[in-house]
Amino acid sequence: MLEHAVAGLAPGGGYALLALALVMTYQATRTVNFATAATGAFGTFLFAAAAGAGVPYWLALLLGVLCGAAVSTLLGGILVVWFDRSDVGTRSVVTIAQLISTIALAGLLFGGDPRPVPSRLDGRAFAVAGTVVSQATVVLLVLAVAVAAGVGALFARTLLGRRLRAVSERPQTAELLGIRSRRYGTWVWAVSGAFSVVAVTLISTSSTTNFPSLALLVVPGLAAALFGLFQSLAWAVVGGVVLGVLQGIAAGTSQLAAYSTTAPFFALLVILLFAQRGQRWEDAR
Amino acid sequence: MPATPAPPTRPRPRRLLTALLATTVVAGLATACSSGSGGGTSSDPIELGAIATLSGPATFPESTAAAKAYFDKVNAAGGIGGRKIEYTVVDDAGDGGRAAQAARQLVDKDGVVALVGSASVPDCATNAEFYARSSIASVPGAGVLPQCFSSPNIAPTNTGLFAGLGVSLVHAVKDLGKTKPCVLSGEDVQAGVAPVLAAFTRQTGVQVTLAQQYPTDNSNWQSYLLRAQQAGCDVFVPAVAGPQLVALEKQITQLGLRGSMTFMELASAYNTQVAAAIQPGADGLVVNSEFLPFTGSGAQDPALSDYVSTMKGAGVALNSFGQGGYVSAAVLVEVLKGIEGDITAESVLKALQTMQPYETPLMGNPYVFGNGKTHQANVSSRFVELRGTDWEPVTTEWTTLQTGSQSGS
Amino acid sequence: MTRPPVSSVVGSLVLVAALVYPLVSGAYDLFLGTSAVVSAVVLLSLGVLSGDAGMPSLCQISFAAVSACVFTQFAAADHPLPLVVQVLASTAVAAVLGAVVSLPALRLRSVNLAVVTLGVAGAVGTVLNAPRFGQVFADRPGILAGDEAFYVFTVVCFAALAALLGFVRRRPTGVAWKSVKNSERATAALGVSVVRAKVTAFATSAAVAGFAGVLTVLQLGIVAPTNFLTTSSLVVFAAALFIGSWRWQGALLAGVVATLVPELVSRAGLPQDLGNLVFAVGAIQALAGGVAVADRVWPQGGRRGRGAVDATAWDCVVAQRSVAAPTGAPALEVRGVTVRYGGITAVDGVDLHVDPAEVVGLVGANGAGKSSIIDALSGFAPATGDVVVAGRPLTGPPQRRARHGLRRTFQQDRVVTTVTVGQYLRLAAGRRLPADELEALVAFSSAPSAGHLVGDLEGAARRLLEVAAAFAARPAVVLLDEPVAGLSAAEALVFARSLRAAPAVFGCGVLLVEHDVDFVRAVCPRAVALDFGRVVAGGTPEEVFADPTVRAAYMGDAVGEDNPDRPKETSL
Repeated sequence: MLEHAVAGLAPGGGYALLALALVMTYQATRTVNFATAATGAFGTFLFAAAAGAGVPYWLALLLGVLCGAAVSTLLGGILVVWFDRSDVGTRSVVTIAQLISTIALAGLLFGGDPRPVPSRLDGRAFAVAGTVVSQATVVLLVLAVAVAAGVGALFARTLLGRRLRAVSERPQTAELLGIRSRRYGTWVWAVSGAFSVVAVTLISTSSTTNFPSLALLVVPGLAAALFGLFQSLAWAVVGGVVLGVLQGIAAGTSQLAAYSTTAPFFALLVILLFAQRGQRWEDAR
Repeated sequence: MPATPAPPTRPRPRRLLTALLATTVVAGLATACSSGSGGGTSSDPIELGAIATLSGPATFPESTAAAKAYFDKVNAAGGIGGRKIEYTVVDDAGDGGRAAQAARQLVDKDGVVALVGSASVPDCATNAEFYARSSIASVPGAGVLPQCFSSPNIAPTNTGLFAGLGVSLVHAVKDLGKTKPCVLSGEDVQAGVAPVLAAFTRQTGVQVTLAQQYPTDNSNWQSYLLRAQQAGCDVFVPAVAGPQLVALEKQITQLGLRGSMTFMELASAYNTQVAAAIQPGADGLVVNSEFLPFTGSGAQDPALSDYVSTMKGAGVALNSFGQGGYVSAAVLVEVLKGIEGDITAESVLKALQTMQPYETPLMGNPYVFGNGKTHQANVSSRFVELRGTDWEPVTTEWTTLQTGSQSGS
Repeated sequence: MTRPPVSSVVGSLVLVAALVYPLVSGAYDLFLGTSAVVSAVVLLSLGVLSGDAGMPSLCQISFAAVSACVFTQFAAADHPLPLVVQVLASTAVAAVLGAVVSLPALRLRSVNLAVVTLGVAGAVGTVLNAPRFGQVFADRPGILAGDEAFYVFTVVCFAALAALLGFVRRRPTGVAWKSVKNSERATAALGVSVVRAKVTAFATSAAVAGFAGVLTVLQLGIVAPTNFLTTSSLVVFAAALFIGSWRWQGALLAGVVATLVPELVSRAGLPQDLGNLVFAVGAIQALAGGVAVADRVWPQGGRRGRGAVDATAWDCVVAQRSVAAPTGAPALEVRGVTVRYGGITAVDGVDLHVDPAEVVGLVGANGAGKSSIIDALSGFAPATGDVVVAGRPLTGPPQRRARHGLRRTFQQDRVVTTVTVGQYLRLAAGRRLPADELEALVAFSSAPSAGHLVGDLEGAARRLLEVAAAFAARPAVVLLDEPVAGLSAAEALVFARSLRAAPAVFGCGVLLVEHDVDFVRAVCPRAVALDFGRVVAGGTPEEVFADPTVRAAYMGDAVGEDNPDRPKETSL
C-alpha cells in the first residue's frame, strides 16, 4: 500500500505543477485555462525538436520555454483583446476551443509520433518504503512547493501581486486607477506559458510523450486545482499529490488496476460534494 | 469626420464565415456528385485501399507507406496483366466513426477490390462485419486490436499484440531460460489475453506468474512494475503500444529495475525513434521483431535486399510495421496475378481463401489467408536486443507459438 | 416580422437539399447522410444542456457511449426484449448517468461544471475500455435493414426528438431550464426547484445523446470505444458553439457540417487535424461575435402578438375581478427578525405585518436593511425570528417559502427573456393557469399578448411582468424590491396605477420596498420606515415622511413639500 502511494508521487507532482499553473492563471486573468498543458506541450515539443536537431540542451530548453510563452501570449491575447469583458465561463470556453486548435496545430506541425524529450533527471534520487523515487519526481515536488509558496507570497504581499488581483477582479476599475490591465494581462499569459513548458517538460521525463496525451494532462490538473476551488495554491499542490497517490494505490490493487486513471475523478467528485455542501447561490446574478 | 465612435466591424467576418460555410456545403455536394463508379474493364486500374491511423494520439503510417512503395514498383514494372494498381489510403484519426466512414468510402464509393496494408487502431473492431457483409478481404500490414485476428475476412500479416505476447513468452522460457514470466496488457487479461496465455502454457508447461491489466489512458507504470517485482517475476512482457511504451521504459530505467528482471517489448518498440527515446539506460531490452530483423548484423541479410531497396527507393524508413505492409502488398500482388477472369472483391476474396501458402523470408511461417472464421496467419517472430541505439538480432531461428487453430502447414 | 430574412429561406432550402440528397445518391453518400443526422441528434442533446440550461457539457459523447454499450449487450444476448424496450432501456441508462453527473452541478456552475464533465468523459472512456465492448454485431431488424430505410428512420427520429424537445421547451419543465440559466435565485424565488431543473436538463440531454449512441450501433452494426473518444466530445462542443445547435435547424446544420468538414478535408488529401482546427477557430469566432452561424441564418424571434397593448384591458380586469379584502390572519407577520452578516447586524429585531390585500411601503436609506429583510423573509439570507404567512410559520429554502405563499422580485430585472409571456407566467404559477387568470395577468403586465417574447417587451412591461409572475401563483404576500428602479417618471406612474389595484384583483398582500417617495405615496396606504436595521416610524406615508426622525435621518427637507416632479436623485 505505502509503496504504491509513493509510486503515485511522480504523476502527483506533475498534476500539482499543472494545477498551480491553472490557479495562477485563474487568479490573475479570470480564466480557467483548459489549454495550459497543451501550451506547455507545444514548448516541450519545440525543445525536443531543437535538441534533436543538435541545439545544445539548455539553449533548446530556453527556446522551448520562449515558444511556450509566445504561444500562451498569443492565446491569451485573443482573450485580452476580444473577451476582455466576458465572464469567466465564456473566457474559459474560449480556452477549450484553444485546446482543440493547439492539439490540431501540433498534429500538423509535429506529426503524431511520440517525441523523445531529452532529460537530465533520469536517475533515481532515493528509495523509500521499498520503492524508488526518481530525481524528476523530487524536482517536480520541490518546484511545486516552492512555486506555491513564492507565488502565494507574491499575490499576498507585493504591490505587483495586488495589482494583478485588481486587474483580474475589476479590470475596468483597475484601468481607471491607472493600472495598464492589458499589459499586465499579457505578461501573466507569457509567464504562465513559460511555466507550463517547464511543468510539461518535467512531466514528460516519465510520461507518455505524444501531444494529445500531454495536452489532456490538463484534466487531472484541473481536478487538482478544484481541490482549492481555484482559490488556493497550497490546496492545488495538495490536490495534485493526493490524486497521484490515489491513482498509485488504485493501480496497485488488482481489482482496480484496470481503472486506476479514474481514481482522480471519483476523488474529485467526493471532495467537491463535501467542500461545497454549504454554498448554494451563484455570486452575482 | 464627426466624433462618433466607429461602428463595430463584426459583420465582415460573419459574412466571410457564411460564405465559407455555403462554399463548404456546395463543394461537398458537388464532390459527392462526381463520385466514381466501381467495376471496370481490363485496362482500368485495379483499385486497392487501406485504412490507416495517420493522425491522432497513436499513428501507424509505415505500413501503408511500404505497401504503396511496393505497388509503385509493381506499376513501374508494368502492373498486373497490364493493369496498374491504384492504391487509396484513408486516414481515420484513431476514431471509430471515421474508420467506419473510410471503409464505406473505399468499398461503396471508390470500389476497391480488397484492403491491403491497413494499419489502424479502430479499423478491425468497427469494420469486421462490414467487410464480411461486403464480401471483401482485408490483409492488414499491422493488425492492432484483437478483432483483426478474430474475423472471417481479415488476416493481417503481422503477429499482433496477442500472438506477439505469446511468442515473446515462448522465447523467454525456451531461449532465455526464464521461469516466472509476467505480462501486462491493456486488454482484459481474463478474457482477451487468456487464450494466448493458455497456448503458451500448453507449449512450454510454464504458467504466467502475474497478469495485470492497465487502463488504456495510463501513463504511470510504477505501481504495475512494483507488483511485478513483488511477485518475483524474472521476465516482464508488457503489451503496450507506441507512445505509452516509451514512458514505461523510461520509468523502468528511472526506478533502476533492469537488474532485477529481463524486460521485453513487442514490435512497436522495434525502430530507431523508440531506441533514441528510451536510451540511455535501456540496454538489454529484448524486443520481438515479428519479421526478419533489419538492424545490426541483420542489415546485411541478403533475404532483405528487395525489401530494403524498395523502401530506400521510395524514401520510406525501415520498420516492423513497414515490413508488414510490404508483405501484405506482396501477398496481394501474388494473389491478383493468379486470378483468371474479372478482378472483383468477390474474386479476390475467393482467391485469398484458396491461395497457396505464400513463402517469404521476411516471415517465420508461410502466409495463408485461408477460409477460417478467424485468422492468425503469423505466429512467429525473431528477437532483437537493444545495444546503444541499435537493435542487434539475438536469434537466428524463428520462434513460433503453437496455437491450436494454426494447422495450415 | 411578416417575411423571414432571405438567409433563412436559403438556409432552410440547403437543409432540405442536404436531407433529400443522400436518398438520390450512392450508398456512400447515404452513409454520410446517416452519420450527419446521428451527429445532429448529439448536437440536439447539447442544445438542451448548454443552450437551454446554460451548463457546459464536455461529455455528451460519453452518454452516447454508455447507451451504445448497453444496447450492444442486448445484441450480445440475442435481443431478449422487443427492440423498442431495448432502445428505451439503453437511453434510460444514459439518463441515469446524466442525473448522477448533475449531482455536482447542483452546486457547481459554469467552468467548474465543465471541468467535472471533462472528468466524466475521461472516466467513462476508461471504464468502457477495460472490458472491450462491441464484439457483437447488432443486426438491424427487418424493416430497417435497408440503408435507405434506416436513413429515413434516423431523419424521422431526429424530427420526432426535435418536436419533443420543442414541446418540452414550451412547458414549465423546459422554461425552468432557461430560468436556471438566467438566474438560479430568481428560479428559486418562482417556487421552482433549481435541483429538479438541473437534474431534468441533464437527464433529458443524456437520454437524447444516448439515443444517438443507439443509432450509431444500429448504423454501424458494431461499435468500439474508439467510436466515442474524449476529444470527440470537445469537438462536438466546439461545433455546437460554432454553428449554434440550440434549435433544431442549428443542430441539423451542425451535424451536416461536422460530417462534411472532415470528409472534405480527407478528400482534399489534407491532414484530419485541419477539420478540428476549423471547428475550434469557428467556435472562438462565434464567441467573439456573440452569434453562432445558425442564429445568423435563422434569427431568433418569438411569435409576436398581434396589435398593440390594449390600455383599457387592465381597467376591465380591475372592474370585473376585484374582490373585497378577505378577513382573517394577516398575509404576513414578522416578529423579531434579525439578520447578521459576520459581525454586522443588518436587520435588528424587526416586527412587521401586512394584512390580506394590503400594500405596505417599506422605506429607508441605502443600507437601512430593506433588501436584507426581503432576502431573510424569502430564504436567501440566514436570519432569526418568526415569519408567519397566512397563519402558517414559514421556514426552509427559497423555493419552499415561495410555494408556501411568499413570493418576491429582485432589484435587477431577472425575467427570462427567451420565452413568451405566457410560458413565463405558467412557470411562475406552478399550476394549470386558467385562461381568464392568464388574461388578467397579461393585462396587468401590459404585454401585447401571452405569445409575445419576453425579450421584446419594454423596460416597464418587463418589471410589471416580473410582478405579475409573482402574483400568478396566488401567494398570500408578495415582496417587491424597488420595482420601479431605473424606470422613467411616466413609466413609474403607469406602474403605480396598475399596482394599486392589483391586491384586490389577485387577493394578496404586498410589501413594497421603494426609494421613490412619490411612488410610495401613490401606491401604499400605509408605510414603515427603517433605519440601521430597526423600525423607526410607521403609519400613512404622509405621517412617516413627516416623522422628524425619518426626515432628520435621511429624507432631507424635500419631503413634505409639494414637488410635482419625480426627484431626480432616486437614491435618497
